[in-house]
Amino acid sequence: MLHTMNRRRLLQASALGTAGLLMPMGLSGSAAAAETLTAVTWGGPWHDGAKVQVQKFNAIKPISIVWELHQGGAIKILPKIKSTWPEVKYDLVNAWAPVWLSMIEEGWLEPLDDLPNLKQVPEKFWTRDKSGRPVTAPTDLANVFWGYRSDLVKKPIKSFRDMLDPSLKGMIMLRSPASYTGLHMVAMALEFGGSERNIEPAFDFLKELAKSGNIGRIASGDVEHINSATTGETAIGFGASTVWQKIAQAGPVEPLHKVAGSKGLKGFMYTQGWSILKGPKSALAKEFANFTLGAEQNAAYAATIAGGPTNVNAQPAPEIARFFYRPEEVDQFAYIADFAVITAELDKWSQRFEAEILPLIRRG
Amino acid sequence: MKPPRGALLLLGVVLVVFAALYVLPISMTVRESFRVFQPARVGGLAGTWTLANYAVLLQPAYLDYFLDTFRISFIATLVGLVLAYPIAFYVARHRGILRTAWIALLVTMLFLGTLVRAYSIALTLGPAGFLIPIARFLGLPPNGLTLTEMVVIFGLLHMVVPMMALTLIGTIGNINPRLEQAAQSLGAPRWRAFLDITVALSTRGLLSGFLLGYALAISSFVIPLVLGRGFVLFATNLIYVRFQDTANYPGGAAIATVMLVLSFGIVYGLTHLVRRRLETT
Repeated sequence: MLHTMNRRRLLQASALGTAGLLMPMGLSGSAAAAETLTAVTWGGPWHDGAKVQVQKFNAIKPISIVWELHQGGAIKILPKIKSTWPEVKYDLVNAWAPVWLSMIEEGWLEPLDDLPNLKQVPEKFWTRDKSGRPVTAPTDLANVFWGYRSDLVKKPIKSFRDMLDPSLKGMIMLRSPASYTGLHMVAMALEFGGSERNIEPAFDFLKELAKSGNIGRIASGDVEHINSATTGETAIGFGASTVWQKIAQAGPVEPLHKVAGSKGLKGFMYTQGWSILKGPKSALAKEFANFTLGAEQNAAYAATIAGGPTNVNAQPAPEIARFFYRPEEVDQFAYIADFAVITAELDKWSQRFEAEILPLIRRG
Repeated sequence: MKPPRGALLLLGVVLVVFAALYVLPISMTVRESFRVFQPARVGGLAGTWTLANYAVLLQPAYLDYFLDTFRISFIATLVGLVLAYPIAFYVARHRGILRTAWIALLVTMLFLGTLVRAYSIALTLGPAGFLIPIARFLGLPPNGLTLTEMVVIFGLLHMVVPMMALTLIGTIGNINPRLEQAAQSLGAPRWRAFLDITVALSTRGLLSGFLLGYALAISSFVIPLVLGRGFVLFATNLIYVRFQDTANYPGGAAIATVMLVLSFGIVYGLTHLVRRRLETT
């Protein structure tokens, strides 16, 4: 019999030879078992916490994760997904309500009502799609609020009006409107009789604040806030519990989330967590998301990111308790914003900020 | 003379690549700028048409952002040219290890990413740097506009000086130094000979260097983002906010289109002006 060697036969022989070599070394087995998912989360503690969860999940089912980190706000992931959709670049995206609302609008999210551990998360933390099915796995509860480094200001701050004090020249770090979806402006609106549905009072106060010359920086991300406040460049700002805990390592922090009698200096609570994009690996992504919602994992992750756990059986870490509320305080001090309204208004707020407030800050 | 077939084929390939990489994306950006943006959606709505994205830019504040972009970039490029010229002159007219060291330094600067350079300046002149205590000592508001614009200009210089110096080395190298010597031997003072001969003959190179530096500065995104404290904004930063923060692609595309037209007008106008001056002199 005549044997002829062509390109296909050569490739087949090479592949078989390689497989034969790898089999005894145990490589082919593990490579086949460890499926790869692509996940997006924030850097720093969020990434650290998620990596620990993957390590623990590997004991149950080997997976490998290719990480991509949010650049600033999570909302920036939307154009990236849109650019390749319906081809799915990411399997898991760690995000929060405003981002999820856009994802739901685009019809990108996998329903998660079949996750067993989601039943241990109160339904008020769920985010549902248009058909009412939950589409997120809320892993932690965030509280975002105004606060300041008490060693850098001469007088204690108890209201927004105190921020107009001339001794605070350049000491306030304002957030860009899109950062935390403008919740810092919603706080101002609430203080002066408005809300996310009537942002006008916030813009009126922002004009006063801008003219005072007290705004020293406009940050678009947490790292910028942390760097500015820890170096003492600015003292007053608006950030999540995670941010304030970091700043507290540089100097004493006074959180303004429980100011008696204030209508706007409140804590803005929301959930963060995994959302799963419809794609070929959504089943595996769901398994991982379900694992992260278990009581033990949930408590450990929340402690790492200085957030509150969402599983009813998980306990919050004692060191972050000061940034959250006791159950009886929630109604008085916590504010749950209507993110559907905010998402619809955010672009307008952003443009108004550019047109009306920034010029005043520059002149201030 | 009829061009050879091979040359036409090569030109055709280049045109196709150019169309695919430049004309198509720019056309899509222009098309997007006329679409309607619906909040909470990503990008413009297909099949819609509006001028609203351009109308927004008629507000005085946006005129200021465009003017700031051109003004700050202009200052940085002009200062950059003044700094780059002596460097290029030295490198063009000298031989030896210092010349090599200068070229190596300029090229190395280009290899350093803009982000690295921006953060190194932020570390030096930012909240933890030495500029804040100096500003306080001089009575300047440390978080004020003047100081922030200066820091942004400093950041832009990092980008434009190496590029302009490398461009000018060739220009100055092509000018015969004997011309300057001849002028001096005829009684011209050294500074006059330098200005009237060397600088005058490098006008076209200066224009090229200026335009290159100006284009780099105008389109700079990272420098104002990192060093501008959020209130010194270039048009590029506004584009970024629209595309990335609020997913308002049509709004971002409109700013990009205006910026493109203005930049083209400025570059064309400057080139035309200098060329006419050169022709008349």
